[in-house]
Amino acid sequence: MTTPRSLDRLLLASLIAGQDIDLNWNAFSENDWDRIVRLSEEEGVSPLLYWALSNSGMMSVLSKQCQRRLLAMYTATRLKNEQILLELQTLTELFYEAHIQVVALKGVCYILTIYPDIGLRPMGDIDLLLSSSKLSIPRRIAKKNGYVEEIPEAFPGFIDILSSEISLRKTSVPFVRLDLHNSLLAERSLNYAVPANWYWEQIEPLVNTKINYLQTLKPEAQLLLAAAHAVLKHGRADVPLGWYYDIDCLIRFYINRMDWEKTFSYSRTFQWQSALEVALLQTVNYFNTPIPPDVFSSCSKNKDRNQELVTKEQRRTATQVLNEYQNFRVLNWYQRFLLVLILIMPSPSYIYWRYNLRTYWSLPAWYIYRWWSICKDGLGTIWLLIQKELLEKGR
Amino acid sequence: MTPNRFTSRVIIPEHVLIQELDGEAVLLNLKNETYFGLDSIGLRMWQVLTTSSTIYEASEILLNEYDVSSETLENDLHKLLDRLVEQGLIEVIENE
Repeated sequence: MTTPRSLDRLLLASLIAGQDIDLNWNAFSENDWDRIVRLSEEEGVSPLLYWALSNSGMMSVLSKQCQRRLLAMYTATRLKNEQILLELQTLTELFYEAHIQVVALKGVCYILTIYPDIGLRPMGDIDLLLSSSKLSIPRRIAKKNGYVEEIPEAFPGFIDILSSEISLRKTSVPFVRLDLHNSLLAERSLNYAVPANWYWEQIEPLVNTKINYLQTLKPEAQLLLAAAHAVLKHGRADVPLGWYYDIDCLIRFYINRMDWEKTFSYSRTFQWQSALEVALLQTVNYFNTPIPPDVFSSCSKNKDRNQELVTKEQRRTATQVLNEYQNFRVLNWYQRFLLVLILIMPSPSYIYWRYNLRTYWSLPAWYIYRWWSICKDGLGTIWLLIQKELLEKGR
Repeated sequence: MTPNRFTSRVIIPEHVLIQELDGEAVLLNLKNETYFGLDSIGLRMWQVLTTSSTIYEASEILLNEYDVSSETLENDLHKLLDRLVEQGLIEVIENE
């Protein structure tokens, strides 16, 4: 039986949601199950598939090999997440001692709250929002505890002036990646930024966990963030099924607390209605999520500036220069000066990392290569803009 | 280089976790995030390999437990050892 990927995705969603499916499972061959299991791995939901099939007693219809793969995936996720939570506990205590508030975001927050088992959601990293206006302070703390930067700083002080997040990686057990933010979804293009203070009005203690001093966002903020993160950052077509399942779990878990009016009000303020609408539509489509009937009419009342971003797949700008120009527009003059400096003369360690060098002696040549690339990209951009202009005049 | 089975032993690196489940097991390498499933025989081989003082001793124990020729056992044991080493799930070291 060969089915399009979109149908397999729907079937997979129904399986992990434990919905009744009117299908003749006997007609499902070993290959069909193999395809579904592989898809579940790609979509980040194989532990969920294992869990759902085990709970429904359907596991026996799968081949032994598929059963083993799912069990292994679930177990590996559980083992890794246990390590991540231990690390989270250590980090939270360290930041607390430095008077920095810690808010658990996305994966780490979900497995501590909305998922019934910590082995059900694979996590790529620990995402934390910190109450530190300068990211260099928590970075110093993390570095003292065995973390190194994923990307070397392009210019001294760069992270405190131009960045709202840093990525670190632990060089010893448990080798986790750590993403520290002091603002959310306010990346370099800043086209869907939210005032940083808003997040601090949305926090509440994370109760019923063994981790002290940890906080989380209120359900409305979590829902908005999950929707915006999925749809605005990745584009509707590229969102893995697991992220829609997060949204489904969020809504079901906080069903009695979720203030939809408040959610719409925030989404209007931040012009996130279109992202919220798309994320909710997709989630309901996949998981039959219980959402009040008037939700979609409220969502589509107003269209916002991000409409194009969510209806089309998110596209990269045609050239790197245009991309940097997007960033440039939202910065003040000092930040613009720094950005130009970073582009032209980044630190040697950054060049070493960026061009994957093995020795330092070739560094000068790579600076020259970088300048040449920028000039080439600049000329390409000018040519592109001329073509565009001519095309528009032709019309 | 092939390890000397009479003088080498198997150790579990610090970054490897194991979870046993109903006679089977899953090994997880935290460093590269790869995992490896062991069936009941693979698990037994792992247990014996990681607790014996040499690879030779491990193969002798397994030979007593399983009704199999020493050639087949050696072959299977080395296949498993190679795959586990390749994925960073064990390290083979020389005894001092």
